[in-house]
Amino acid sequence: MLFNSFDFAIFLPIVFIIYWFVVNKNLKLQNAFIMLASYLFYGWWDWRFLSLILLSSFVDYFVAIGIENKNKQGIRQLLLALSIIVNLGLLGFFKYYNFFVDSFVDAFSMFGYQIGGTTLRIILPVGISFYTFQTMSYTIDVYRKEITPYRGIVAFMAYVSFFPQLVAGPIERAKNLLPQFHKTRVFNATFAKEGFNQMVWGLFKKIAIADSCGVYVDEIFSGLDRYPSYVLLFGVFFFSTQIYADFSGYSDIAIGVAKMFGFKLKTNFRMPNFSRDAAEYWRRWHISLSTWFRDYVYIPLGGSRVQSKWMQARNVMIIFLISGFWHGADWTFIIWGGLNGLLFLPLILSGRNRTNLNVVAEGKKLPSFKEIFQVFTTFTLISLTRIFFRSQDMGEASLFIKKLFSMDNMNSHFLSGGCQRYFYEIIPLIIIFYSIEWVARERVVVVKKNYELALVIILILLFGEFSSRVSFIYFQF
Amino acid sequence: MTKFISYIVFSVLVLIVALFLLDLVYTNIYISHELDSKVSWARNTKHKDFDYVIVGSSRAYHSLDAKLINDSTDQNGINLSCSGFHPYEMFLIVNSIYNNNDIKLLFLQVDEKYSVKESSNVGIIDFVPFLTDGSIECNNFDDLADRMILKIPFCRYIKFGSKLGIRRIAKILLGKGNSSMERDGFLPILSDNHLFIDTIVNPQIAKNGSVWIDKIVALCEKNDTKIVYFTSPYYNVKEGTFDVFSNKFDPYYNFSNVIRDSSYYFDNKHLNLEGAILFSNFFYKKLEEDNIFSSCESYENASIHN
Repeated sequence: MLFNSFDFAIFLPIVFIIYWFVVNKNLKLQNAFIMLASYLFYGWWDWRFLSLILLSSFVDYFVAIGIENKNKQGIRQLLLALSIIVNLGLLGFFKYYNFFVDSFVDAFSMFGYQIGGTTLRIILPVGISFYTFQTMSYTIDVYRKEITPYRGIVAFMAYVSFFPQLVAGPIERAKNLLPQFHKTRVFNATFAKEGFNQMVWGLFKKIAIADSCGVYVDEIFSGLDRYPSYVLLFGVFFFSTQIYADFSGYSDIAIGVAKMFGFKLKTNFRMPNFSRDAAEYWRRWHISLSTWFRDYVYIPLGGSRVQSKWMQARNVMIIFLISGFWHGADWTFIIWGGLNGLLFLPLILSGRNRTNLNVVAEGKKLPSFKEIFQVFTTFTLISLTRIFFRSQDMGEASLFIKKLFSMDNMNSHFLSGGCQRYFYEIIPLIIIFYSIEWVARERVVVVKKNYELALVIILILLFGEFSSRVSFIYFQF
Repeated sequence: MTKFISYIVFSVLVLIVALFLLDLVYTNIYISHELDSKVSWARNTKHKDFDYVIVGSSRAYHSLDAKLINDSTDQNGINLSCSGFHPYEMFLIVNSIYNNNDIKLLFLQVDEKYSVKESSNVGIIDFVPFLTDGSIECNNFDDLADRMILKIPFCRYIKFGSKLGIRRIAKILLGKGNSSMERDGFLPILSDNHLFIDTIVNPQIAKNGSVWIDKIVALCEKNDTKIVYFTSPYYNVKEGTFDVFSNKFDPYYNFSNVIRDSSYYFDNKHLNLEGAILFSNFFYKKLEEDNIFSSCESYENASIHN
């Protein structure tokens, strides 16, 4: 079920009413209802994949209790390994099997050996990268004794499958979200209103900004031969805006809906496109994933506290390469991760990775020239790396880059007729969008007052791209 | 909870009021700006008597330069063809122009789309602003979702947002109308040639008749308008494909194979500017030769730009 669908517009009020008016007196009933609603929400796509969530939930619930009950380190390690193998096994099979087979075949053929590889027609279950990471973090935290296992399998299953954040995050840690399932939720009107506003703002980002940019981006990436370099550059910037609005829009809706049900999820984005360097960008983009990798991979590797610069660089590159690979089973994502690692590397090696911790132009209305330059440079560099993220394969990415810097077709038509009509809408729309974000950059929630909500509703009606219901980009991960 | 429900009610009210107001604003802009589209123009034009009106799809829209024909023949006519028009939209626009005007001759395009009953996804768009005022007979929005779109204010502008949305409204308000009206309804294709393929047309094109062409005929009979049927040029279409129309209609002009040189085409179904000029000259000369124009007395007071 998509957040931007008619189905969800029916689903949400029904679940809300039952949750607060029918099952509100009993915590167990509330949790059971959340679990059932979440399974319905997920099963709307493909009910068969509910079995994977159930498997992941059962394994991690009982493994965590096992880890807690056993004193012998070896057994605890074995149990943790079981959890990791099951979760990464599911992820590996459904997401990476074909990639590995193809890569092996290609690697052997490079040396003249032709081997047969059998790829399978595997459907990628929606959200598998998100909920496997979420459940894995639970067993790891129990193993590290940072939390004790929670008793009550229904609450645990509701935590794993919690519908607002099930398919595209934020990736919640057990220590933040799970205790909320063990506490009676009392309706808080201010909190719910804040959630509603955040949801509406997320819908604006998705329907008006991301989907409108998407029309233009699709046109450019599918017609590289037709367009001059400057149009391709526009395509890069528009894709950067599209993916930000799409993913952060999803997160806003997820966090907003969760608030309406009395849950507080982690902030996932903090206006990353106003970052002054790559380090700041990655502190503000997909925060729940960045912190996951930081806590479960980067720090165990030694983080930035290792002795040599070489080890520091290695750790940074490992994190970015894994992060790229997490996004998709293709070399394009790995290259994208690597390029971002290269942008980050000079900052960490020179000790300047934590220079921009505050919000840009904090307490001021406008940024300085230096800040404008920094923000523009960072946005441009990050956007250029996204050519790999958006391209279907390495061939398309190479062609895009070649065309971008070739200055070919400078006399060709700016855009085909089908796309031209969007262009003049998108430029002012993006200016409006970033202006609102700029004004609200120090806020947690952009929309606060009644008139702001009314304005956003009107903007959605005016600029929304409703002609096709487009799925969220991060669903494919 | 009461406070939150009040807030949700407020939001829903904002949504409803916005839908009503935006619908009102958009519809009024479309109704009152006659140069926005041929549909608006046809609905707004009053008390004019046309020597001829050309009605068809993009194949007639981009092929027949009405200004050239008018200048050469001293006639007062207009090309009301539009991209994507099926016989249904052709009927709607003929009906619109008849509301307040008279037509002496109707040049009616008949081709491969002759029997299509359904409205066109593209051709219907310019009619969408007027679909709810009851002035247009519309039975092509029959399923529940489509009916909802017509019933709920502003939903039709949301559904067709890319064509009827804020950009077009801004364009209208900035005074940038439909440029084809400057050439009496003709819009040339200036783009480079596309790849050509031979045109294959289903030989059964006229087997089922055409409910909407029949309605146009009835409308013309009622208004004492003479109909001249024609088929615009195709690139390399099989000889005899349109013979069925020769037997069915009188007078019928089969121009499907009159231009064979690919340099006059944009693609296999549309002429480019040079092709359109060539064809328009051929068209009016042929009609003059057959005394089609002179068989109907010219209106003296007609002028498209009045």
